[in-house]
Amino acid sequence: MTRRHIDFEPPVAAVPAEPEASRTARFVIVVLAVLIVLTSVWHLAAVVLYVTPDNSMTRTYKKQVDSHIRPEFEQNWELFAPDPIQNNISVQARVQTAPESPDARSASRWVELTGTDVRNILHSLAPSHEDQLMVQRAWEFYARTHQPLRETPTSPDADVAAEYLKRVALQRLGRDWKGQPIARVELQETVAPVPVPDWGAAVGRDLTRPRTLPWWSVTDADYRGIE
Amino acid sequence: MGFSLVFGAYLIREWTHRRVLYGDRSPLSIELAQQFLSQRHGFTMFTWSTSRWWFESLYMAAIVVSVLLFLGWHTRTMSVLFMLMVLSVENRNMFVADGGDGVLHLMAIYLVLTRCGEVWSLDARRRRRMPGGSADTRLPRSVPGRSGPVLWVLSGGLLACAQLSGLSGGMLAWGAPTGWLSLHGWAAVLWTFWACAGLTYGFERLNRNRDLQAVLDGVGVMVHNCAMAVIAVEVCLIYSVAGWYKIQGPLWEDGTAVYYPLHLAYYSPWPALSHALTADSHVVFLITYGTVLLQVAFPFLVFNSRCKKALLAALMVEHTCMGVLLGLPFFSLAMIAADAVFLPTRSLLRAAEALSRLRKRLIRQKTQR
Repeated sequence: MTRRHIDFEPPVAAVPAEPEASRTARFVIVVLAVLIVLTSVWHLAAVVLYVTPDNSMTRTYKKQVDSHIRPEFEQNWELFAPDPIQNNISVQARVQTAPESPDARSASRWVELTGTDVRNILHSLAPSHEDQLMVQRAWEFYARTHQPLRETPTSPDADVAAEYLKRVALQRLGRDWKGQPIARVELQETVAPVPVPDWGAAVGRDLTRPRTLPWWSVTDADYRGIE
Repeated sequence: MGFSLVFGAYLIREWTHRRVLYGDRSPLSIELAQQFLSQRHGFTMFTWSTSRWWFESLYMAAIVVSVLLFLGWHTRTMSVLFMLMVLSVENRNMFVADGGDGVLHLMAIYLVLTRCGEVWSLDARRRRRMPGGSADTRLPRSVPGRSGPVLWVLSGGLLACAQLSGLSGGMLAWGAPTGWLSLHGWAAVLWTFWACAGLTYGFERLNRNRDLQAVLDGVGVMVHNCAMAVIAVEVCLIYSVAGWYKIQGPLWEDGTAVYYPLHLAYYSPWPALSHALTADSHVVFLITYGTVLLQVAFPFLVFNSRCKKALLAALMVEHTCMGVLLGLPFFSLAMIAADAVFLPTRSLLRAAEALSRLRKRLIRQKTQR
């Protein structure tokens, strides 16, 4: 029978009270123990509701759950799910050095921001998060807080997202382009689908579309700390 | 212990990138981070000062705390500091975090409530070496020696300074929690920990009141057990939710899902290896269905002692492969540390014994030669 117990065992044996403890002490322990267990159950219930797909319970208790989970217990375990990413996404930037000509013809060539990342990741056992995540996540953050095409903000974090993405790009581009200070910058994302293998069916739902952002003007303030 | 190793190793790995990721050269400047955090109420110490020295010393301190927690030196105090450090780093820039950072973030909070220094730690060794102490001695709870009280006074002083000087910029407020049990009132949380540490120590040394001792001890055990249960359920949730969402994915159903991430430039540090592995449809199918099966089955099999060993071994192998192939070593290590929660203390101790026997035998062989 000893092998039938639940094998997840804590290193400390659960002996709440020494036998000599008085009745009051034992009562206090039991009350506190119940409180602690209830707290744990409450916490786990909130976590369950937070990570499950949208359903009737998550809609009913959204406010309570969010206020409990955010910010420090926030989590998302949709790892490579429901479908893994099927597109090689790359972020590119081009710049203008003369502020008075908004004409796209005076723009530089497109500079690959993702290419450097990929080169740094290649043949590395422990790639840096600077290469793996910085450009990718900055773009995602922006895309999540702005409406496509019109690029209007959809979240209170939109300003932070735009400024962050701009600074991530500028840090990699540097202050000058061919000896001239950069005055404006434009970012775009291109999407190259991974070809479906011969034996696979084209059933994925990765709907990422290429996106080009408007020209942003660049000032010295944008470069604070990143040069 | 495992988590502190992962975090320490990560901080050292990113040493050359630290200023761009979390420091003064980060594109997410301190002003931007503050603007972002003011809506989320996340806790970080990195935004308390824009000085470069503040950043560098905090980053160094985070590494030192990880090492000390790993060694088990004043595990209780270190686990609280470790939590503060992990939250500080993670919340300084959330946009360079992956799943591994998420796991660390959660576990660092839960670890504070467990007695993680009972078996393999400097604390345990010190307790064993006490007069009358043995490997099984549970009491005294507190670590013998003078460094404990010194550390206690010091941490209390630092906390008071941080709060009174206004350095924390409102992050150590007593806080009006917006929800039950929310962590918005960091001052209350930290002072509670501090008071608990003081109480435990004080009662053990000065007042031999049996009842109070029993209450403190009982509550300690209860909190530990509940925290361990929460960690266990959390790990089950990670797997089952990951499996749950995968089942909804047509590509996972098609048996080709694993093919795609291995062909993404961002996730293939070893393209030749990835392409070789995904060249055959049978292999891809087996890995794809195997992954879903393992993840969905995890919460059901992990409580059966016989299935558990095979399950955990399979998952650890899969995480190791993933860590290398997809270039996610710290995520993999964090998940392996999380899986280790389910290994019973007994078998961990047996493994340690086997290791030390092996070491002794090797030494003997060497001396014989």
